[in-house]
Amino acid sequence: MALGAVLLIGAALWQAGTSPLLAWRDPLYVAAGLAGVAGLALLLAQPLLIGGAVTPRPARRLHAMAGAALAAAVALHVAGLWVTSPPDVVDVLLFRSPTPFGAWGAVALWAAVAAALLALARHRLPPRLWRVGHVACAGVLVVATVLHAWLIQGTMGTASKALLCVLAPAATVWAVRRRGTWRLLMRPRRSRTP
Amino acid sequence: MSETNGVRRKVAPAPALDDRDRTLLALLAEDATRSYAALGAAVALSPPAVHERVKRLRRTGAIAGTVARLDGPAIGRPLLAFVHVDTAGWGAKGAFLSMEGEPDVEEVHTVAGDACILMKVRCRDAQAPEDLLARIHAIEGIRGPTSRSRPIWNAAPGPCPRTEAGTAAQPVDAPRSRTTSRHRERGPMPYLPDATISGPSTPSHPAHPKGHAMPRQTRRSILATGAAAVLAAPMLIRPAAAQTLAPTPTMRGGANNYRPGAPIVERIGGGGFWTSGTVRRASDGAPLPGRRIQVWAHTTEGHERDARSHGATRTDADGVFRIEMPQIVPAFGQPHGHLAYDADYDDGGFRTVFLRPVMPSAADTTLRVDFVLVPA
Repeated sequence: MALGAVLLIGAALWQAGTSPLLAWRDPLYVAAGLAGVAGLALLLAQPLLIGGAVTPRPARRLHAMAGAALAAAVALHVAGLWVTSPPDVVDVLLFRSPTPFGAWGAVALWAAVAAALLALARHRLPPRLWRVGHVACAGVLVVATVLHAWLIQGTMGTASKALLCVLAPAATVWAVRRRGTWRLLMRPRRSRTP
Repeated sequence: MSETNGVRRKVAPAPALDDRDRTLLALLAEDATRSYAALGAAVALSPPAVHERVKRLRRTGAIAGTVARLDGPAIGRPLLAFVHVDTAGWGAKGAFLSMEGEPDVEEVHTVAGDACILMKVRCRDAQAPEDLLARIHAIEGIRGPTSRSRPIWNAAPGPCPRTEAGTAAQPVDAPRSRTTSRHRERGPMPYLPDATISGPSTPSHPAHPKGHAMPRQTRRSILATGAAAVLAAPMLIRPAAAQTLAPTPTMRGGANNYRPGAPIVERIGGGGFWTSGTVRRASDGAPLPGRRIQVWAHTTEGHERDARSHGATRTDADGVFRIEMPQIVPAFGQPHGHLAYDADYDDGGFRTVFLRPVMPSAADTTLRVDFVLVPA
């Protein structure tokens, strides 16, 4: 499973990196686009890491490092697009973009920010709030990103994009089940008094 | 995706009409407000099936549009007249087509035959055509003693009550009610003698051969006659200023990376891609000549924000603009262009509109965008 995911991620990045569209783009715009592809790819990697598909146990440190990489990719994506066409990015952030995927991108951005902030503050948060909050943000992030990516006519190959858009949500559902996050939503059982 | 309404879709070649289509078209041409149920009953189809057919007829262009048929007299334009105009050459054609913008002018046709241009005008009173005539004479190609400027008022029966003024032209039984007038139109139109008039500096002409010889008249007397006798087959009446086109709204994001005052250019960059369209007035669809349109996009030669990706052009006499530019490539997730009509960089008179049409396919090498402008 891990090998397949690595191959898919590699193929997606390679295809996007050799797209003919790149010939007509500035280096910064190219980097911004690839950062977006990398972000989508990381959304497949993240649940696999924390769900324990790669290592015998949940790879929490790898998950955290990949999370940092994801945050950097999101920042590069938004910043690169901002420099390339500021008014278009402003429209997206204000939810008034004419593109149907723009709003999903903005939702995904804020979900990513929220998930990252929760991760940074997790030691100061009640454990249940941290877990449920982080997973909820991740769920919104994955769904919004998939919709965002799927509607875009960009540099990604159709097949690799479709696979990532199907497998990332599937992996997220799998990891949530595997880790039993949903159980935290139930009321804690009262301990019986002797 | 209402933002892409300005883009003309690729329309498949119109499929042949079958008998049901023809029946539906006939019924709708009679009364476009019929219900789908009533239409269905006439052609033995269910209302949804009829709906599908009507949608297809609209899509393929068999039904070009649905408009209200206004009654000339009821909206204060009782005088209907046809004006035949001879021009010195083709030079005056464009200027004449732009006369469609005149509020009195309902239709302008270029025709073969005696006259070069046939205008249908509908006026408030007998004085109005006089003014119109003066404007016609002012157009280049008409003026001058050698040009055979020869407007002919061609009377036709209609619902307008006669006035006492009319004696020169043959009196016509002008039906007063719409129902009777409709019956009349189906029959042959009574042919009335054409009256010939002379412009201020034109030599006199013999009367129209088909009509019987009329005594020579002054223009004013002819106009008075027109006011009296003429008027109006109410079928398909489209009084000017009545046929309204929906104005083109500014699209979200349309103004992004706009460069005010981008120069008028022959071509943007190396070219190879054509952006074209029309600019018309909302009130009556009249083409607007000389309007400045700026076009920009992310192309094979530059980003949207780059100055070299921008250029402007002006509409010609028919309100058509056409500008060559480098191939548009997908950027920010969609292959799209930007167009602007900016009142600040034009003669003004109309409201600024920014468009951001999305191309149906990134492989397209043309983009067609129509503007319908609203007076400011």
